[in-house]
Formats: sequence, C-alpha cells, structure tokens
Amino acid sequence: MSDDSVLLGLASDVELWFDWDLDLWPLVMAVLVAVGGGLLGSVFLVRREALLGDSVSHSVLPGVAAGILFADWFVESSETEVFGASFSMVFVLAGALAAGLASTAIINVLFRYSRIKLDTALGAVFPAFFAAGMILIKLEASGAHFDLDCVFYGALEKIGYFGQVAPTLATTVLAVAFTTLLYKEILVTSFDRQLAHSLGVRVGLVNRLLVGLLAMSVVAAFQAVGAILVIAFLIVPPATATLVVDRFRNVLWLSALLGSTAAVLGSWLTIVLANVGLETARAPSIVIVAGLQFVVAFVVAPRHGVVVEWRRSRALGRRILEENLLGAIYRVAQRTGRGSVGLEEIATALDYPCACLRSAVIRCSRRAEIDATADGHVRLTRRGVDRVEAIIRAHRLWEIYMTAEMGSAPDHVHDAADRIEHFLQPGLVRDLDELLGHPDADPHGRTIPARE
Amino acid sequence: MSADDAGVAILTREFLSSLAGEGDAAGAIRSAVLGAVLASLACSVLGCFVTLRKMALYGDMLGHAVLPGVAAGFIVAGRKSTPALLLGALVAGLLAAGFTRLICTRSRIKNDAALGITLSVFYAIGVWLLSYLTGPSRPDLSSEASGLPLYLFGNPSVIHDADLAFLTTAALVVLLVVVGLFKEFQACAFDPSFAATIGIPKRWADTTLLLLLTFVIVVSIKILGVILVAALLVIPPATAYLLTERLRSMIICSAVLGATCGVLGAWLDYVFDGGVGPSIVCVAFAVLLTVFLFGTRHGVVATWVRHRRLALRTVRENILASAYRVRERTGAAADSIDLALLAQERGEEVRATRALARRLHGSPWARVSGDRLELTEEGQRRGCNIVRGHRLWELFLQREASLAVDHVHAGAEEVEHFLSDETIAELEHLLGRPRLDPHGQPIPAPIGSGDTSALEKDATTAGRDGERR
Repeated sequence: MSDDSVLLGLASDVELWFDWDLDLWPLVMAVLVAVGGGLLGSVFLVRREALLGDSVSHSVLPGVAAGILFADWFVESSETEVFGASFSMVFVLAGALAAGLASTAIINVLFRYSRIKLDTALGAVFPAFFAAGMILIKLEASGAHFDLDCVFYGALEKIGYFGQVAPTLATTVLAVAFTTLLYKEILVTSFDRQLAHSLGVRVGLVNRLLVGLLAMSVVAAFQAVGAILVIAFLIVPPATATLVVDRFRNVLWLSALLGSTAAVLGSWLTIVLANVGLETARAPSIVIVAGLQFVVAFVVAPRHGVVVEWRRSRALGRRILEENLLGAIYRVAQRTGRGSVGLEEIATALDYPCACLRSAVIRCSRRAEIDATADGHVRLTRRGVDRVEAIIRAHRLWEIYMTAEMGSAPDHVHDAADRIEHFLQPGLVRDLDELLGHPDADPHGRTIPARE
Repeated sequence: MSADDAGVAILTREFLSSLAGEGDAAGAIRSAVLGAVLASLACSVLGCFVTLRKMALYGDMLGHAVLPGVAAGFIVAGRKSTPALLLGALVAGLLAAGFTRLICTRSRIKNDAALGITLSVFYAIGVWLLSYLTGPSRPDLSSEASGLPLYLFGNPSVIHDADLAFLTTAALVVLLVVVGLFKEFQACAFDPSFAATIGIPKRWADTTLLLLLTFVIVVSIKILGVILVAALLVIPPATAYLLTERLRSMIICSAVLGATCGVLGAWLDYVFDGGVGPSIVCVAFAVLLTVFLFGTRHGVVATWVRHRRLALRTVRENILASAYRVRERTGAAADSIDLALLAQERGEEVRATRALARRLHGSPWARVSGDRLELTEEGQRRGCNIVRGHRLWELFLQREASLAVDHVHAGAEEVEHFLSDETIAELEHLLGRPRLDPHGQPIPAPIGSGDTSALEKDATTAGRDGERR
C-alpha cells in the first residue's frame, strides 16, 4: 500500500500535499504552540523546573472544566466554540489560572507544613487535580464543546478558522515579547537569584509572570494538543537545543526554531500518511518528530553528542596508551641497555596484554616515533625520544612539586604524577620548572630530562 | 445520573447487594471492586519504597510511557489479548526506564527534564498508534481496538478473569518481595551508603524496585488509567508517612488506606459514574488532605494547637516568675502580689501586665482579683521553679559553655520553660548545689522543701554569704 510508486505519484500532485482549507489553520496553530512552548520551556528548563509544565498542564484540567460549566450558565450556550476568541474563553482561562495557582499553593503548603518531600507533594497533587478534572468533565461538561478524547489526544485537526487560533496567537506573542523585552531579567533570575536581588530585579514578580504565562499558554494550547502532549512542546525542543548550543539566547531561538520545524514536519508526515491510507492524529506526530530531533541531537550534536564524546574519550585513551607505550620502551631500553625492545617485554612492563598494544605500535610508527626492526622489536626514533622525555620531564617535575610545595612524602607522589603527566601542557611544565628553580633531579634522585 | 439522596441510597444498596449477589451483573461489579482493591493495594505498598527513594516522578513517567507498548502488543497479537498487551507494556516501560537513564548519564540533561522527555515522547507514540488503530483507516480493527483507549482512562467494568489473575499475581509478588526483601529495601530507602557497606549495591535495589514498579503499573493501568496510576503510588504512602513513624507500620497503613480507597472509589463510581480511577484518586487525595490538616501527631491543626498551648504556658509562667521576683525583692506576701509592683518588675504598663495576668484565669496557678494577683500554693511553687531553672541554667551556661555573664540571660529565658524537675535537680547536682547565679542573685530551693533561706535573707547578705563560701 505504501510502496514508492504511490508516494512518487502523490508527490506530483501538490493539492494532496497541502489542502489550504483543511491544513492551514492546524499548521499555524501547531507552529504557534511550538514557538510559545519552546520559548517558555527553555526558561523553565534552565531553571531546573522542567516538570512545572507537567504539573501545570495536568492541574489546569478541573479549572478548564469548571470554566466551561460557568460559561454554559452565563453565556446561554449561544457560542459553540469554547476555546476560540470568545467570551467563554475568559471563563476557561480564569478557571485554569485559578486551578493552576491552587495546585501550586497546595504543593507548597504540603511541602512547607509537613514532612512530605517536594517530589512527593508534586506527584500527589497534580494527578489528584487531573482526576477531579476528569470527573467534572465526565459528569457535567462533556458534550458538544469538549470531551475527554481532546484532553488525551489533542484535536489539532479540528482547528478551522482564525478565532480558534487567536488565544494561542496572543499567548505566543506575549511569550516572544516577554523573553525579548525581559531577557536580562529572566537570565539573571534564572541563573543567579542573589545577583538579581542585588540588581533590584523583582524576582518574585518575574517568577509569577512566567508561571502565569505558562498556565495561559497551556490552556490556549489545550484544544489543539491536549493536556499531556503540551508537556512535550515545553520540554523536548528546549532540551534538544541545550544539547546543541550553550548560550541562553541561542537556546531560546533554537528551541523555537526546532519546535516549529517539528510542527511543520509532523503535520506534513500526517498528511503524507493520510494520503497513503494511514490516518493518524496530528499532535502526537509532531511530538514524535520532536522526539526524533532530540535523539538525533543526542547522538550527533557537535559538542555534546554521544558520538563526539565517544570519539573524544577514545582519542584520549589512545593518546594515553601511546604515551605509556613510548615510556615503557624508553625505560626498558635504558634498563637493558639495548636499543630495541620486544613487544612482550613492553607488555610485561606495562602489565597490558600484547594485543592491546599492537594498534598503538602501528599508530606510533606511522608518526615515525618508533621504528620496527627486522626481528620484530621496536626502537624509539629521535622524535619518539623527544615525546617521551617531555612526558618524563612533566612527571618528575610534578613529583618535585608535590613533595616541595604540597608536603607529600616522596613515596606517595608517583601514582598521582603517573596520571597527571598526560595532561600537563608544555606551558604549564615550563611554569613548574620556573617555580621550582630549574631542578636537576626528582625526589627519587633521577635526572630530569632537559628541555629540547 | 441523579445524585439526590434517595438515588444515592438506592444505588448504594444495589452496589452492596451485588457484592454478595449472584448473576452476571453482580459478578461484573464484584470483579470491578476486586480489581480496584488489588490495584490500589499493590500500588500503595510498593509506593512506600518509591516515595522514600524519591522516585515519585518515575511512577508518573512510567505510567504514561507504557502506552505505546499496549498499542504495540495489540498490533502484534491482532486482538485484545491481555497477556500480549501487558507484555508490550512491560517492554515499553523497561525501554522508557532505560531511555531516561541513558539521557541522564550520557548528556547534560538533568534527571527531571529527562523524565519529562521520556514521558511525553513515549506517550505521543502511544496515542499516535491509538489514533491510527481506532481511526477510519483501519475499519477492520476499529471495533476490536475501540477498547484500547480505556487504558488511558482506566475502566474496571471490562475486567476479565485474566486481568484479575494478573492483578492478584502482581499484588502477591509485591507483598512477597516486600516481605522477603524487607531489610534490604529498608536499608536502601533510608541509608544507601550503609546498604552498600552491608553488601546491597544501590543499583541492585533500584533496579529491582524499577522492575517491580513497571510490573505493577502495567497490570494496574486497565483499572486506573495511565495518568492516574502514578497517583496511587504516591498519595496513600504520603498519607501513611504523615501518620506513622516506622516503615513497617507505614506499609501496613498505606496498604489499608489504598484498599479502602479502592472500595470507596468503586462505590463512588457506581453511584455517580465519574470513572473508577479518578474516583479512587480523589478519595485518596481527600484522605491525604484530611490527615494533613487533622492528623493527631503531625497535622496542621494539632501543631497549631500545640503551639498555642506552649505560647499560653510561656506567658503564664513568665508572670508567675515575675511574681516570685517581686516577692524576693520586696518580701511581699507569697499568695497575693500587687499588680503595680508586678508591672514595675516587668517594665510594663500596669494595663499590659493586667491583660497578661488575666491569661492565668483557668489555670490552677493564679487569678487576678482587683488590683492584686492571687497565687495558689502550686502557682508559687511553679514561679519559684521557673526562676530556679533560669538561674541554674545561667550558671551552667557560664561555667560549662564559657559564655560571658551578660550573654547568659537570653538563653536561659527560653530554656526555663522546658526544664523538667529532674533536669533542674540534675543541674543543681552537677553544679555542686550553688547558692548564687552569675549575676549574684540567690538560687531558690524549691518551695515546700523546707529550705526557704534564699527568701528570708536579702540579696546583699546572701551575696556576701555566697562569697564567703
């Protein structure tokens, strides 16, 4: 059913790819939710309050349900759309804000006035609010406006005109304005509360504004993505962004960009799948794309990706192995007085298996640091000797430094020096030499090789 | 559904009679109640360790994250076979736990954000699969798959014998493991480093707990729903934590609470039709709030009452002590002190002293009558003891804690209300039965001991007496 010819055939027909009447508003909505969620989510992520979104999104449910009930009483149900730019939306927003604030207050009270821990209080209160919301919806508020499916799945497909998008547009514009105009205040309150206080930033006010905006965004996105998938919009793109870039400003715009890309790709994926006969919901598709973005960044991010980290640690391991190998050749050659050394002797000296050393031998000889002689033995070249002597110099200077400056006993310094010798940069070695007054011998009485 | 009193009574009677009744309908209700009780029981027992290990939010994450496994199990089996769905959920739960761990250890994402990522992405995959399975593109499946979203909400009205069997197994496994490995879990919950030294690696205990947690969540979601299952892991244990002091009693208390909430939730659902999972959670949360407010030991009200009582006692004792000092200074009659003198001693307006002294009404110690404070014998003894404790403590602070003489008063002013008679006697013995405090004032013997020398001599002779010794 989903073979290539069908896909290619559909690709030629633009109408099937994007139906302006059906697909425009869902796409606009998704992008708006993603941009607002990405910006706000980044702020909460760097504040280590990532799960606040989780908590708020669950606990606004009873407020939303109560808001719908009040709206039905007061507005005479002339409006069919609760979540649009309508009078009912005021009730829903007010109810949701009240529920969000009430749950936060109960969490705080439980945490402060009893011995319940914070995570337990969080884990107890928001499911309870969610349960209350489910009961309210099931008993009273279900029907034409709203049902539980929307809470769980989101109903992005049902967004059909500007009025439904307007509240989200407003919260997203607010989020953009807030993060650009109050950038400095948010930055300083997020990373250094003390400094913020001393600069005269009203930390409490900024926090309350942020939480209020979060609650409003969650509610505005409610109909489109539901109560639970909205968490993904708040956490996943910002987390992806922190894997890729380091500065807060970059995290902000990158998570908005990643979120909106996921929104476009996810919507597109749903349309494509629908065209080949697989009807799927749009909101979870977007989240899955965002999840894929995260996995890709997790694996191949330029500075913090798993691959880069793995290569970095492999390169370090190789370098240390090479340096240990060259050092062992040097020492064995000195001890035996022969120029060339057999691989087994080195392996015994280092207490490594032979097989481990072979690749290091190949790499060193490729760099002309060692020569292989005819009988399978190896010999240090001039270049190899230079490298070894630099390391031995670092090792012995460090030993002197530890005995002279740190008061360590001479028989306690070798192991530490053995580890640190691989990490002392030439400049630092020069400084050590300077500091110790150009010594000639280490604490064990061995000569320190001269600088070449 | 009408929720008026008569309707509630009728439905309750129906509910109760069907618990013991015959027939299919009664059987269905019985299975629903049994399922609710078993699921709540398993969750609340295991939840004790989960909350103590600070893994409360892991339960939330796993609850959401098993959903794709349910859908995948359905796809593989081609029908709603309970073992297949549960196996899929188990696999998804373990994958989610592994994914979270991988993110935490291999990137700079923090634990809470990693939980949020796993929760939302796994959940998205789950609802995405559900939307496909129940959607218009698979009309062949939609009748069979239509029950799947029940795993979102939880619904014990479709509990089969197989489900009950799994729930019973889960509850038994949890109980057996908790009883069998009680010591190990206890050590890990309270002191992981101690556990490590007696040979229980932290990782081992955490992995066992995580496996059990996944298992319990998987079998409970059909009753409680993927979102609310976490609540039962947290709320009854938190309530029990407020009520008890020992782990063993916490577990029993949590189990009883969980099972009770299960029954009550099932009943409320039968009467009001609000859904079993949400009803159980609401009952459990109401119990938590009640205990939080009215618990006898740690409840907010009890603590507040204790604080008020302590404050009242402090005020009363301070007045009695002042009365003793007045008597000491002026040699006034023991049982009746002029309020003006008392006010002068305390450095207050007479009106303020009168207001404070009135708070002695209702106590066996003293009462205000006219312009005088009438003390009972017990009140005199109490005032004397407070002054005695105060001065001994000052001396103790000076001698044993090497505080300067002008720094000892503030500490003694607070401690004087908390010194028992035994402690005072012990202090006196320790300090070698001293006569004078660091300020040179005599330390009175308790009234009724026959030795009233401190009161009979005036302060200066007593001081000289002390110096001679």
